[in-house]
Amino acid sequence: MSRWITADERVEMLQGTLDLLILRTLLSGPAHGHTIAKSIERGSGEILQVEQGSLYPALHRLIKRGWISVAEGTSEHNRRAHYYRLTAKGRKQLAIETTKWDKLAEAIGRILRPARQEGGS
Amino acid sequence: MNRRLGRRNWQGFLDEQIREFVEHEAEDNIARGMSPEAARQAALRKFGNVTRVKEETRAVWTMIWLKQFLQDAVYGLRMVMRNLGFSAAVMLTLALGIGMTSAMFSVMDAVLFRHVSYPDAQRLVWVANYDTGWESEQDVQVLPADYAAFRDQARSFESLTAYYNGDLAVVYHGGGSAERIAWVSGEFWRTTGAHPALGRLFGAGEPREIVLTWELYQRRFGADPSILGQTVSIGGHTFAIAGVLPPRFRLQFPQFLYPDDERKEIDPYIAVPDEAYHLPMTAYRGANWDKVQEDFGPLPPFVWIVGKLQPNVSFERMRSELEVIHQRVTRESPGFYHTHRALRVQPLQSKLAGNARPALLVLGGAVGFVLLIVCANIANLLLARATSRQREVAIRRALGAGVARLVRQFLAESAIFAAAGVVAGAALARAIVVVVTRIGSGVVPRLADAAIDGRVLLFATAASLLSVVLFGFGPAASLLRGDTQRPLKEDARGSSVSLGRLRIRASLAALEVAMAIVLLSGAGLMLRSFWRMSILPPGNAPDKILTMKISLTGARYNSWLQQHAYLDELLRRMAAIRGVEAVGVHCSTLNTTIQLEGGGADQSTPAAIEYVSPGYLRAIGVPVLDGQWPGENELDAVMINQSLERQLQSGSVIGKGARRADVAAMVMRQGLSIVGIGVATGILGALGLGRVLTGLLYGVKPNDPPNDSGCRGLTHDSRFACVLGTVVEGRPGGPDRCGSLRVAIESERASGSNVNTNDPPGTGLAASLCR
Repeated sequence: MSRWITADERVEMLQGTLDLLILRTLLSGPAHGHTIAKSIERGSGEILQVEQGSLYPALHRLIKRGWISVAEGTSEHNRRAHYYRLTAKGRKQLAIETTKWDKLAEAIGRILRPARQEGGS
Repeated sequence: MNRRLGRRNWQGFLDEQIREFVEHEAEDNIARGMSPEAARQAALRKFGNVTRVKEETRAVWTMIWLKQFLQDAVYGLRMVMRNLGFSAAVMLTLALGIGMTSAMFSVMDAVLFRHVSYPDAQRLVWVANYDTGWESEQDVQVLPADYAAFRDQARSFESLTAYYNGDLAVVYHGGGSAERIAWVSGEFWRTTGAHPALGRLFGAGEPREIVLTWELYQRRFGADPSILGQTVSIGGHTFAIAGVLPPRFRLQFPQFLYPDDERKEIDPYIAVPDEAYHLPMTAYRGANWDKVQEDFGPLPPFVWIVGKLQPNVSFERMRSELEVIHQRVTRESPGFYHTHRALRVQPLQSKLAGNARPALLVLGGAVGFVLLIVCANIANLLLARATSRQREVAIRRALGAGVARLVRQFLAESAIFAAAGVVAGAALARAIVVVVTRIGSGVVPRLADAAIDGRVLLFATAASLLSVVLFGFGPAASLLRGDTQRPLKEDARGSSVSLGRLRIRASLAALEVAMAIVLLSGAGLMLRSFWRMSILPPGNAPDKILTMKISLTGARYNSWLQQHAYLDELLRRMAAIRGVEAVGVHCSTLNTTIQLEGGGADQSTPAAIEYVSPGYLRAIGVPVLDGQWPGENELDAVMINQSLERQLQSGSVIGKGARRADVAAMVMRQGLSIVGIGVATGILGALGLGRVLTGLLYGVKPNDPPNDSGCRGLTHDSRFACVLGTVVEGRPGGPDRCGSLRVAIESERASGSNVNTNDPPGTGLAASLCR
């Protein structure tokens, strides 16, 4: 699917947002690495693309911080595969990060669209 | 079961993850209808750069900076070792550049720049006069009455001293030797912070006492401590030896020197009796002066003053205080002054530095140019290699090396060059300074004080390092443009040097040529000046010329007539010695302006007048180009040299034009053999340098007493006239009568013209010795 989206339409992921998106994806349940990438891409309407080069270092980073844990299991095709699961610590972190992101997005929105803000009030 | 990951096992886990991803992706692709092999290839492509992912994951788990730093250092070292020839060239260039420039500057700085090592030297001030109508940039001596007024009335000084130097015969046990003595008065010892090594130092009110330097104590008195309290005779007066100074003590204040006086250290110090500062002005006139010297012993006709400011008194406050006192003295005793003398006060350090400043500036410029050449060389070397390493960089980049990492590796290599170069450079500088001071300290004054100038070493190091770092990045430069493919492709086509880089290297080469020309022509000018100083006119054979110096002092030679008779007899007897061809006496040099009689004031030209006896020029081997030698009794004849002849004929007052043309011609000749842009730039630079040098050559006054820059001789070929046997009855305060002199000008046109000289006050004393 991603091939129908041209490079111009894709948006570079902001520094640090990948960690947040991974945590959010895992909120709905444990997932494989491949599935995480897919669901982020699909969830963003193919606007965001997850580079494998960033995904795996990010997973390692989250594991190191103890926000996600990894367990072995089997895939749909009966192969050995790793599952990533949100930890309690990770859940707390997700809440913090989400609040932070909302504030940031709102603040940036205010600056970029001041007219609409005034018109709405 | 949760898996625990850590620094040890993350790598295996990552491998599993990658395999997992590829399998997943391949299965998806097969589901889209690809063949298993194509599906696997596509999955691998989609994963992207495995090495990069590994690197970045490694960064999560390890102390990446330290590890990479060590790796980079090892890598850099390996690169340095692999291209040993290249590395040696870079490091040697760095070492030579840093070492030579620092050492040369440090040595010259010590020799030219006279640093005062007396305690609280920054509070010492130099007090002198200048003549408002007469070469006002030049300091003239202070009259003793002025000093007495400052001493009695000024409150700004912690200590104040007056001193003067002269060459006098010191007689001990019947044997005499000519010594350069200093008359000191006031708080000289306190101002200089001197302490005796033996005996004691005389006080301000203790005339007739003498203090020896350690050197004189060794040389004349055989280091025999029992000489303390014994007497020596100077000018027919006895002085008791009071004490001996420690070996390192020397006079660091400016000496007064006639242009031909040799430079040497002061050896004995004698006290000036206080009465000398309260003499009426008439005492300095004619025979009165002889009488005064008979009464008080040898006295200085003038003094220089150095004072040490009170710690809480500003320079400006002291200056205005002295100004008020000086005005009062001038007003109350108008007869003291021939012409208007104004007061000039400046910090002693800047007084001493002022003489050497132009020379130091030129030297600093030369050192700077050498350093620039070194930098350009290093840049060129590194750029040349950057070209050859571009492909290596492109390949490593394609294999997954990050830009930052590559840049760091080049930085590591540069850092190794830099460290080795700086260490070797500093060692070289040290070695040069040690060797130079050891070889030359007996010959060149103050050379022994030379030490590496930290600022210059720092500057040279910084400049060299900057060029190493800047151009060490050359290979990485294409990375910053994000252009990793081009070098690989270009290499396939066989062209790997970019036009831009060629252009940079070409301009560096041009820059080097330009700077080399500037340096060469500067050195050439200096050499030529030196050569002109040292070449001798035809017929001059220095090995056949004998010179000696006579000082006639004491009661026996107090009057001019006695001295005259002595010189007459001396010359007569010497001329009678078999094998002696010519005998002459030279007395003094007077800098003045002269003009042809009948010529306008605009035709006057500055000239140095040498007072000589008729045989003198013949004795030193100066040929007559035109006209003839004056006879024995032609006492009012003048001989002039060629350049003065040209001056007088052309009427041009400023003689700099000819000199500047010389500079240009010289530069042109040297420039013609080298081609390129560099030449044009170099010539411009050299012309600029020539201008500076011209300023330097003319900036050095041959009669500036404390001028110690050694450039005095450079004006040797400019202008001088010889006044033969002129008796001038000028004394300080006396009539400055100078008769109209007949000229024997060595050209038909000017022959028979008369020359007027304006005799400045105070020079008559020396001139009257002439015959």
